[in-house]
Amino acid sequence: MRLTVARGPQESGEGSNEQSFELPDLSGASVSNALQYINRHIDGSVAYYLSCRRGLCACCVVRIDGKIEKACVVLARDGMVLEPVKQSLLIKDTVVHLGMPRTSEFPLVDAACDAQPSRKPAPGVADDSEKMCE
Amino acid sequence: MEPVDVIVVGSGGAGLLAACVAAEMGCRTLLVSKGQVARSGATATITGDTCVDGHTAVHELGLKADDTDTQDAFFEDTVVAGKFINDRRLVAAMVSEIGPEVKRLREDGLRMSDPVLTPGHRTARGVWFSGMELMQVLRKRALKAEVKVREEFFATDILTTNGVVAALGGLDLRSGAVACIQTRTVVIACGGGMMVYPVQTAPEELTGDGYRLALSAGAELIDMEMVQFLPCVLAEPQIWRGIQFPWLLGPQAGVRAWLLNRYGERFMDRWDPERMELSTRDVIAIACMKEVLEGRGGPNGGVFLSWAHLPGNIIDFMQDWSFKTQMRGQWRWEGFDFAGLVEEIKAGRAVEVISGSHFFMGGIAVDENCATRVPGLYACGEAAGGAHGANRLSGNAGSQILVQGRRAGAAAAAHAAATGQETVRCDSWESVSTGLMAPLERDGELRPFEFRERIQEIAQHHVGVVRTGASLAAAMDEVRDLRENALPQVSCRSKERRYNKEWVEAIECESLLDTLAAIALGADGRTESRGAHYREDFPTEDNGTTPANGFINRCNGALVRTTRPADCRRMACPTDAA
Repeated sequence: MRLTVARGPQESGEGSNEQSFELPDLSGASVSNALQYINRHIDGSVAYYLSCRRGLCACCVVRIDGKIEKACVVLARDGMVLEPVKQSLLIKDTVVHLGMPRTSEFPLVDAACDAQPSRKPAPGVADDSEKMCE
Repeated sequence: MEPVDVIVVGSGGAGLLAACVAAEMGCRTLLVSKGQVARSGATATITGDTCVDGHTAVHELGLKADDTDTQDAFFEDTVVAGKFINDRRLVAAMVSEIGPEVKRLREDGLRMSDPVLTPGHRTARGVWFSGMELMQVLRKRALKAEVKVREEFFATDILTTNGVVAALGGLDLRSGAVACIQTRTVVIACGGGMMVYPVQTAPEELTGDGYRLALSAGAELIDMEMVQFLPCVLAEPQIWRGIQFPWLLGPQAGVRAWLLNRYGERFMDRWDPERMELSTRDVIAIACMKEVLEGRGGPNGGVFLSWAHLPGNIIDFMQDWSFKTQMRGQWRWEGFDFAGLVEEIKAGRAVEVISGSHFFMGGIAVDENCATRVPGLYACGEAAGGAHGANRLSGNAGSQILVQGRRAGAAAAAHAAATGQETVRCDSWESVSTGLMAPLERDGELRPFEFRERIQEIAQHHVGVVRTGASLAAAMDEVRDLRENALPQVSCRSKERRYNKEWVEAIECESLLDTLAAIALGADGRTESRGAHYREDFPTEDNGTTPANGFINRCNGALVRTTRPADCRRMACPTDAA
């Protein structure tokens, strides 16, 4: 079974690629099961979101061959192309943001670094380990 | 920057409500969730009942119910089902405060319908509403109350200073930051540990993170051996694994299906000849597993549920009187279309069913205000143990999460207002952040999912529905081996920091291991059978003395168990002596 998954955004922040994966025949598996299989057995960098596994939380929503579906309730089929439902909601690969409005987001850096100046930024990551010491 | 007064961990019903209440009381409140807010946690899977006593349902909610039902009767049914080890303070709060809570939700626009009767309740108490809709109502409240959120933040450790809550540490999945947030109080509301078992009715994120958080802070867990299994879930295909449709079409709320073993024997008559398939979930799960263990099960390790004795139109008629709002005249349940399966059932085919881990009655030990023994640390909802004793009745989870959500939010807000912020010790945070980074930095042999599969195998075989002293000793040996030899090898293949699911799974390994260890230790110490905890070597309840609650805490790195007699003041425990 071959699945094609949109990858992105790229580190540069722009554009996305597609990547195809060869899976064994996962009979009776959902698209979510297949994405989890790819992440666990083929490429750990492939992102996916899976919570309720029964079509309720809707966070696993993806565009399957152009049609918007909940990945956990659709059977995986050979040749499927999986894309994010909306680029403006994109977090990574096919994962999109559906929770609270972004305006209610708590700024992690500001919160953590006030107490202590000791900071250790990691490569490629803006807000990183904060140290707070007595 | 603004400091935080209250951090709530988990964004299901309990967590959302706790955050709303704390924010409405004027606290700077942060809601962190491993998933997306109002779209994760076990609340999403409430497709039905939340229990309110009949009198309150009639007079406060205007629903059709038994007016003669009382809160005392609701209390009694809950404690009888819990086999008398429920924390009576938690039950008393639950039965008396759920009515007003549901009323507020109804005023906020939550759609609900008349209570249904479910096993173990003497009358219809299960007010019917959807968990997803509940969370949407609470999400609106949270926005109005200006609760701040950090979604896909995996809270892993509570940092204490002088034994008091000082900060929350964890992994921010989206940025890949390992972060520490100062706070005066933390409310743990991130549910149970159902993922310890290979088949679950619960969502993916329920890996026992709350127990790990509580243990990291020095809090106690109570009665962790009490794991509820839901009998009669589907085994296959994989897309349906753990789905409870057969249970709903049969024993839970549907028509009278029969449980049969491979010989076609209706085996429930050996376990509960009066109630048969309408017995409580603990009894049914144990009965099914015994059939399987004694060689009378089906090819997939289950037993059979059969509707063959019923005329097909009786089954079809069910849509008119049950699940009216959900099924809308079709056999659609949750996100699936079961019309094909129902046709097979009406044609006389039995469905092989297995048990899935469904709910943790045990959990973080709290008092009636949801306070743990650690100043500043609270727990509510499924993460908190004790309310349901040894077995939870259907619909009582909804009642627990809402009542405790409010209580925990209010208690944390009051505590935050009365105390100062502790500073965070540098060495504590160093040790936490080093541990979180380790699976990403090292190149070990073991993938996180492989570790999880080992945990699930041990859980299924040694601390599952049926336990023995030997199986529990084996489980504890395995846990020791996993902690010493396997956990330090768990490594991510992908070294990416942003949105690395493998990294999350690697950190979850520790939550799963703590959870498995606590269940095994609790089950080993309880040398009797009670409710959901069934031991073949001690197959009956030990009522020679007052039944006890088991408590687990981490002491010098190791989990230890102690016991205290259950508080039987409001409702006496039956003892052999009496």
